[in-house]
Amino acid sequence: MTENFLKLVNIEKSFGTEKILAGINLEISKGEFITILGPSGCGKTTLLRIISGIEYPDSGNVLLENNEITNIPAENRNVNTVFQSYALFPHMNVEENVGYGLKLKKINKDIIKKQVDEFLELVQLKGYNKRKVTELSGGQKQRVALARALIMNPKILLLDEPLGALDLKLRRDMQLELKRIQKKMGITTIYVTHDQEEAINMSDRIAVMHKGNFEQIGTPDEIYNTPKTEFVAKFVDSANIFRGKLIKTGKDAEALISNHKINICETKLPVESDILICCRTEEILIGDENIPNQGIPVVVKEKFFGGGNLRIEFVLENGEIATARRHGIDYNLKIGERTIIGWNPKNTVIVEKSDE
Amino acid sequence: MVYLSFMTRGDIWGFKNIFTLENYKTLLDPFYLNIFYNSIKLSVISVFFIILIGYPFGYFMAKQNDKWKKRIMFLIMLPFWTSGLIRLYGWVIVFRSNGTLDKILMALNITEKPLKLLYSYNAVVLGMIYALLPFMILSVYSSVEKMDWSLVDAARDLGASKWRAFYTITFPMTLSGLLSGIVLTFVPSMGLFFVAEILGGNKIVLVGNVIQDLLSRGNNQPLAAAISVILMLMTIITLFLYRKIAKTKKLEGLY
Repeated sequence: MTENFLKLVNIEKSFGTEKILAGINLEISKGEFITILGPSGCGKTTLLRIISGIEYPDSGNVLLENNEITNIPAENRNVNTVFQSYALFPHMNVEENVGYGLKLKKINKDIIKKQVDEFLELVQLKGYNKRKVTELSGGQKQRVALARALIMNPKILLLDEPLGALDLKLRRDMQLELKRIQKKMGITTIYVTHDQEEAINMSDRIAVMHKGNFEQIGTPDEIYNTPKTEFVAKFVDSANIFRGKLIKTGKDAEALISNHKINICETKLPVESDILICCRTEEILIGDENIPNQGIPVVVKEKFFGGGNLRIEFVLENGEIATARRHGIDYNLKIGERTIIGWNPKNTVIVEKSDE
Repeated sequence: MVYLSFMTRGDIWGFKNIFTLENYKTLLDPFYLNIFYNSIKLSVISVFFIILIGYPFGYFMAKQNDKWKKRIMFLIMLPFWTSGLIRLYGWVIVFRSNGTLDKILMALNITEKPLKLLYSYNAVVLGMIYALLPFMILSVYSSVEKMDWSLVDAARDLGASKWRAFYTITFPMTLSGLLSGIVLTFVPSMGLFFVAEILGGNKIVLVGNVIQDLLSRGNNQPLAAAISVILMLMTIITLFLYRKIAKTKKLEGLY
């Protein structure tokens, strides 16, 4: 892997008075699959359009293989995109869509035909050459759009929420499919999504974006287990955030949460700091589940089932809400019941505050 | 009307219920064929200029922001609040010898003598363009408005220059608007006899003028009916062609 295959330096972009990108820095290695994860409106699509050359930044640089490409238009970049709505040309059939880019390069018709067949086979649409794109299903359109981009042999493949319009099962199949193709071709890929599950399943690295900034860039593991900020913790699998005051620092750090003393992870922050403590929902211990310290008193507020998990919501004495997650459908706690919650200190992380 | 077109002309007024093909035979007379030829020629020339002005106009109008779209739409609609005939007389004032246009051009030292535009072929073409242009603009506008611009992004992304993306993507995608604009301007242009009469001063005789003449002065209702039938057939053929080419039954911007 060569480092700095693609380098973004201080990219800024505004539309009118609204700042969309506030100084984005990113380095991507060759062959890497990186996901830009963020809620809608965080600027991720704009960033993708700047990398593809459809949009230009107000300031900052885009470097591809150490060549400045900031102001090179899309058609001369050799970077190709699979668009959110697929953007297939409705007046052309599958073959004409996939071959569009090659035809512009004035490549011999027979070679185009051969390549189109090859790539249709790669995306498992062999024999669909003459089909109208308007008659294809969502998943098939998706595959055509992918073939149309891949056939250009791009240096970087950009995917803009490509699975957003598909149903859950198809989405999971396509995740595997995309990953298979990406590995097979060894293609550098930037994937944009708001779906944390997709991001975690597919990426080598994830860049979590919030309000035009990257809050954290790291492997799925790092993002999930050691979130850097409140936003990352909440956005990726909605972790619990507790407001607390540090009363003991160092190895056996302690914090005051909702007026109760509880052990937390090791920290070097000074005593008396206001801190945010993050604990994943599956790491919250309830009642008699061997809480290693005294725990925080709570009242059960709500229970709901979804995705094979039961989520139990608690209200702390200070009014804050905490959630625990358990497998299965039931847990022997009634709504309104009093209990305590706690955790193993090594399962907590202190996170930075994020802009609202 | 089809029935009437096969009847015999009345001696003084109206018609006799006697079947004849004479009316259609008369139309094969070079005099009438020439009129049809002139009408079609004028329509084709007018529609040609209407496309040249209307397509870019509709295209750029659709690319403006909402505020400007509304303003331009208002300006296009404004003249429709006055009778078309009155507006044509307005043109007479502009075009006539030593009229407004001549005065302006002479004041700006662009021309030395009055242009004598009124009662010329050019004046009729200009009048046609003026009367029919809005229909072209609106139908192109409505098709460009519906255009999915991410398709153009995709084309650019795949290596198409701006111009290339326009004629491989945008133009084919908005062709239905252009074609319906052609139908909406070509068909009425065949019948706009008053434009030729007012701005052409009877020097330019079109099919519409002949029909009007035959009815009001010539007292030949069956022949007028026969010409009308031919005109209708031409309209039907135009619409048929439109459907063949545009592969749709809808006229863009109308229904």
